[in-house]
This record gives sequence, C-alpha cells and structure tokens, in this order.
Amino acid sequence: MEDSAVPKEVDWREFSIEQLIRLMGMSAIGLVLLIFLFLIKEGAPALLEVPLSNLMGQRWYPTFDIYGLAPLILGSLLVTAGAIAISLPLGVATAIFIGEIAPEWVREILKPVIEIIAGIPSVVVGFIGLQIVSPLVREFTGAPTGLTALTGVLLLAYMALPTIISIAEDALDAVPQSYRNAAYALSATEWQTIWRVVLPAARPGIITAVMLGVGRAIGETMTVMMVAGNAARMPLGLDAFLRPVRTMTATIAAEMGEVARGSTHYHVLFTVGLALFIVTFLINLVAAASIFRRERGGGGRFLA
Amino acid sequence: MNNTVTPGKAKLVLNDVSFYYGDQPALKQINLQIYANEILAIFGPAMSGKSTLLRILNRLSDLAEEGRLEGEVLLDGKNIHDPDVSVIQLRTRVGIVFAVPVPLPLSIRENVTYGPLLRRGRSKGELDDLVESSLTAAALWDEVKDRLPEPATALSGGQQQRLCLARVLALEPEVILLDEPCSGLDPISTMKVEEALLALKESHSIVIVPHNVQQASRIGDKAAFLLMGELVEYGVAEQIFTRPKDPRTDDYITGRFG
Amino acid sequence: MNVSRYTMQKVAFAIITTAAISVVIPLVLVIGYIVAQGIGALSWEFISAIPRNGMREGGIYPALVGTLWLTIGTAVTSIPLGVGAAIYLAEYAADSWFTRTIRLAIINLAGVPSVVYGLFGLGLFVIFLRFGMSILAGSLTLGIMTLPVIISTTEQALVAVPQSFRVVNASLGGTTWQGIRKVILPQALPGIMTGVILGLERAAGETAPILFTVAAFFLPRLPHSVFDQTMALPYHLFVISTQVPGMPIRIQYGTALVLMAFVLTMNLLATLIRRHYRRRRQW
Repeated sequence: MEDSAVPKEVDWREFSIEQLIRLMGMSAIGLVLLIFLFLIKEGAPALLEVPLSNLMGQRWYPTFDIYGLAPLILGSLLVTAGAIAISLPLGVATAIFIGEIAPEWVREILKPVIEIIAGIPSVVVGFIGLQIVSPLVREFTGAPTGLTALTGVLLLAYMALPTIISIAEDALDAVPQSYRNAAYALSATEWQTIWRVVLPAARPGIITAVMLGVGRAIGETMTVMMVAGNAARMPLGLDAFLRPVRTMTATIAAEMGEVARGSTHYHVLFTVGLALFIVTFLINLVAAASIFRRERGGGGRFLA
Repeated sequence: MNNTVTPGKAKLVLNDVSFYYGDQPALKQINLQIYANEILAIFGPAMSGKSTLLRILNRLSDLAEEGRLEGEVLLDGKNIHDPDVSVIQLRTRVGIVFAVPVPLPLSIRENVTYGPLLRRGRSKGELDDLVESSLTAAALWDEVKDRLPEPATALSGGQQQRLCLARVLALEPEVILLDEPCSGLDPISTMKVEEALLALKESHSIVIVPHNVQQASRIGDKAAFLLMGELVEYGVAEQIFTRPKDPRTDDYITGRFG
Repeated sequence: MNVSRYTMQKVAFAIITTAAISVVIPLVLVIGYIVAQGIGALSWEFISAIPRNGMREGGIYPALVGTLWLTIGTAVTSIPLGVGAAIYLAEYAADSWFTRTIRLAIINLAGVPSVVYGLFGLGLFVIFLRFGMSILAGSLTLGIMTLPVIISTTEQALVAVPQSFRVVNASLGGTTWQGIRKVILPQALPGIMTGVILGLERAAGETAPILFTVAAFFLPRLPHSVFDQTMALPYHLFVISTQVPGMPIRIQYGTALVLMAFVLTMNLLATLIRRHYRRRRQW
C-alpha cells in the first residue's frame, strides 16, 4: 500500500521509518550471503591445498595431513539416521496423541512439556548422557565404554523429538475436520479415521517434520561430542552402533580450538562447516518450499 | 442508464468510472452525482460492485492488490487522484463504516479519539467535547457515557456498530459512507442507526448500501440501482421505488430476482 | 477380520499413549535427577563466589555473569534488527519474489547448525574484524544465530493481528506506521516477547557458537569490557564434565542445575506471558 501525498508533518518521518525498516529486511538476506561467502572464503583454500583423493579417503588423521571426510560424513549420517528411526514413530505417535486423542487438560500440560524438552541445552543433554545413559548402554550392550554411536543416537532422538512433534502436530491439525466427519459418517472408528484418513492427508506435513528433524539432528554438536566417542573411524559393520563414532559437527568443535589459523587443517574444517551449511540449507529449503506451497501467505489484503 | 436527477452542485461526482480487479471488471462506466444533505442508497444484488463503489470514494480501493481505476472521481470539483491530494486527508473528509463492526482493541473513548489523535494534538477539553458530540450523533452517548474507559469489545453488536459510526463522526467528515451497516443487527439497533442517519443528513452527504430494498426506501432520498457493475437507474428514491423506468429495476424491487 | 475394529482401536491408542508417556518420562526423570543431585551443591557461595582449586571448589559466579552478559549482548544485537526486519516483511513489503526469497533465507538460517555460526563468528568477528575472542564477538555471533528465530516469531505475531484493524486505521486517515505503532505492535507484543524470550533462552544455553568466539575456562575473574573473554555456564559445564579430573560430581550437577534453572525460568516466563495475554485478547 502506498501513502501518496501524505501531509508534510507525517511524511518524512514515515518515509525514514520505512526506509530504516526496509534496511533491516535487506540485511537478513545479506546475512545469509555473508555467512555463505565467508565459509567459502575460509574453506576454499582447502580444496586447493588438499588433493581430492585425500578428501575422499576413509581416514581422518589431520596430524598426518590425511583429511578423509568419509568417516565424518558417515558418522553424521549414521547417528542422524538412527535418531530419526526412533524419533519419527515416537514423534508422530505423540503428535497423534496430542492432536487426536488427548483431552484438553492433558494437551495443556503436554505442550509446554514439549517446549521444555526443546529448550534443554545440548550440553546438559550431553552431560546426562555421560552420567546416566552411557553407563546404561554399557551395561545393556556390553560395549567397552558407553561412548558409542548408540548413545548418541538415543540422545539425538530425544532432542529431535520436539521438532518432529510440533510440526507433525501442525500437519495433523491442518487436516480439515470435514475429512474426519465424513469418515465417522461412514461409521469408521476414531482409530480407523486417523490411520486411513488423517495420517495420509497429513503426510506432506509429516515429511516436512521429518526433514526438519533431520536438520536438527545433523546440526547437533555438543551432545554427540560428549557421548558418541569421538573416534573418526568408518562406521561400517553390524556393530557400528556399539562403537565410537564422530560427526562433522563434533569434529569442528573438537579440533577448531587447537588448530593454527590459516593452516590447511583450519581450512579443511571450514570446508566441513561449509558442507554442513549447504546440507542443512538444502533440507530447510525443501521443507520450507513445501510449507509455502500449502499456505499461500499474504494475498488479499483488501477487506471486502 | 436512466438518470432522473437534475444536475446541480454535487459534492461527489463520478465520471465514467470503471474499476477492475486484475482483468475482472467490477464497475462499468459509472456516472453518478452525490449531493450534500441527503442520503443516497445504492442497492442491488450481491456482487454487483456496491462495496467497491463505496471504497472508491475514499480511495480505500487503493489497498486492493491488482485494483485498477479508470475515469475520475471528483470531490468538490477536485479529482481525488491528483498527485497533490493527500489520501490521508481525503479519508478524514470521506469516512466509511463497514458491514462488520470492527472495534479497535482499545477503550470506547480511545476508539472515538483514534482518528482525531492521528493529526495535530488537541486539548483534552476539545477531545472530550468531540467524544460526546460524536457519540450523541451516533445515538450511543446515553448508553456508554459512564463506560468510556471500558474496552470497546464489551459492547453489543448494535452498540459496536454505532461506535464505529461515532468513530467516523469524530473525524468531522463531510461525507459518510456506510456499507450494509445494519446487517447482523437486531431491528431495534437498526432503527437507532437509521434515526441517527436521518439526523446526520442535515449536515453531511450520506451514501449507504442498504442490506435490503426496504431500508433503501425507508431512509433514501435518492437511490441508485447497481446490477453486475452497471448503474442501471438513478433518481429520486420515491420515484425509483414506485415507478422505476427500467424493467430490471422493477424486477429486482418486486423480488423477481434477488 | 478376527479382531474387531474396536479392539484394534484400543490397542493402537494404548501404544500411542505409551509413546507419549515415554516422551514425557525421561524429562521428568532427568530434571528430578539433576535437582536431586545438584541441590546439594547450591548455596549462596556457589552462586556468588569465584571458583578455586582449578574449578573444583568455590562457586561459578564468573560463569553466571558471563552468561548474563552474553544474553544481554545477544538481545541488543538481535532484537532491534529482528523486530525491524519482521515489521518490514509483515507490514510494508508487498508479496513478491523478493520478499519470498527473504523469508526463505530466514527460515534456512534458522536451521543452520550452531557450530557453523561459531565458525562464521570466528572467521568474521574474531579474526577478520580483529575483535579477538571477546564478549563482543560472542554476542554478535549469538545474535546472528538468534536473528532468524526472532524475525519468524515476530512476523507470525504481527500477521496474527487481524487485517481489519489495518483497514480501519487506513480508513480513519492513519498512515501505515501510525497503525503499527498504535494498534498492531501493541497487540503483537505478547507474541513478540514470547519469541524473544525463547530465542534468548536458546542463545544462553548454546556452547558451540561461543567455543571459538568468547568462552574461556580458566578465567576466575569478571570481564572488564566487551573486548574481554569470559566464562559462560554452558561451556563451564562442558569442560568440568569432560576435561577436569577429580571434579566433584556434586559441582557438575550443581552447575547443570543452575543452567537448567536459568533456561526453565525463561521458558516459564514466556509461557506465562503467552497465557496471560491470550486470555485478555480482544480479537
């Protein structure tokens, strides 16, 4: 909406406020570019200093100038996949519980609880992992230490839950009540309605929830650094979950402190960061695009 | 179009006005004159462009994305789309009351003083007088004079609508536009609003889109029949409702289509 | 079908309810455990004293203060810019490919891992702009990390305010900014505050972004200026639980308790604000 020819006393104030606010809006996009460019600036030298064959190798020994990224990438993937395998069913089930089954008073309690879970700092989760979960894992699986990929998976699953729950809940909520009513009219039970009508209708939203959960899990740093063992080895074989593993995020956090600025190692770590940025960016892009497609925001500002 | 109004000094004049939403024409070549001190009722079936027509008069139509105007609208002889015309000021001279009352989330008093406070500050005394006179003219003062600090949402639907009328009156406008102001109101509230309007026409131009033909014939001095964006007939109310010139007007009034 | 539909339903609902319970129980247990184990360490001395003996005795005061400073710094960095950008997107910008791109960029920024922000902060603020490891660098990094959250929640809060108010404001002769200032912003304020508090809560608890930008472990004194390094609660907990041999377990739990208390208080605050204003809402 344009305010053409506004009386003088309001005009330049309105104009400057609008410009200021526009500036703030622009800086948001500028920031994304800035981050991206900076990561490239610091990470690109690595691609020049380290041959590609090295980077694609299976061993990560920076002290010997061996920068195989595979164990780190696989570490991240393994832990993320495991976490999602747990939190997807658990999260969707909880979302169904909140949205379709629970009475109002339960919902009022559950929602803040989920928010609290989302708010637990990752270092606290890692701490609890060290103190409680890790010994338990060692007890129950006979692994030599409790610092395994499995421990990381369990904790990550818990951390990804709130994301999956809230978005899945939105997706279920968005399914029109008329769908459910139609099913009831055909004498379906509540469960049949949920399983056969509501869930399939909410599927795009649930996929979005999973993607954002994946983004959350891949990006988690402190928790995995504290409990997943931090050994940069290829997580292959059936016992991969019971061995220590290291993620891309933990690698950056663990090694950045002791690296010489400007060294090759430094640049490689930035490359890893860049890779993380791109991956999460893409995940969020796809997830957001599907959200946008469903709610056509803006539009129709005319009060009729 | 059948026009039986003698042209004189009109307050608002529409010359060949057309309005489009994107490619869809909402109003086609409207020619209309609105005079001071009388009520013009614009009636017609739904989706005929009546609301659009009202909004053109105070350039609220500018808010419509993809809206496009052709022709000219003159207020006191001046084109309201001239670059040196202040839209802000225009809207204080031509005020509008919507079909659904929208009380602002403020107190009753603050709702009424909202418009005046947008411009130069006035003294508290002036504002108090303005509040009382506006609410009185809207036939609401007696009911709320002891409740001014209360939230406006505490009022009933009929009272809220009269509050919206008072809000517009506080701007001290010259023209008052009303878009189905009584739809959703009970008959008593409707009567109160209509009485208020009849009193107000002594000092304002009023353009109202009534929600039925009966209301138009009750309070209208002039009437205009809008059908599918086209101004079919326009003239003295009494004549339009008893001896319409156009068969379509006659059909609509007698209820052959609605 | 041997099993009746209703039996199926009972089974399914039982499973689902169990799932929901199993989500809640760990939280309750964890909080309970931290409180139980950590409450013993809590004392006035713990909160107000400086650590001694390689952090194994004394208090965590500098870390508390450090976290407080960083939170304030984050607020200063992210709130004006974030709210401003949100107002622009919600009230001024027409819906176009440009604004859609901005919104997309913001959503994506929200999903970037915190450690990448730390990396960015290191490269830009610590090294390139030569702020060194400092409260300044840390606050800016955390601020940028919090920005997307604040922009999103503020925009949501603004858009939730009914469009009719804007139209009424315009019809009474108000400019866009007048409408924002007098009606829209006040109505959106509870939502904005909730978003801000939750954003700051997250920033206060994050470790990765401050690892390379500000956090120090052995710094048993308070920072003198924004160019100083400082201790911080999350980082403190991290180091004492992983890298200090002989660290009394009680102190570790005590530190975790303080951090959790900080976070939970903010959470509670946000929830209370949201509840209170939802009830008083006039639309």
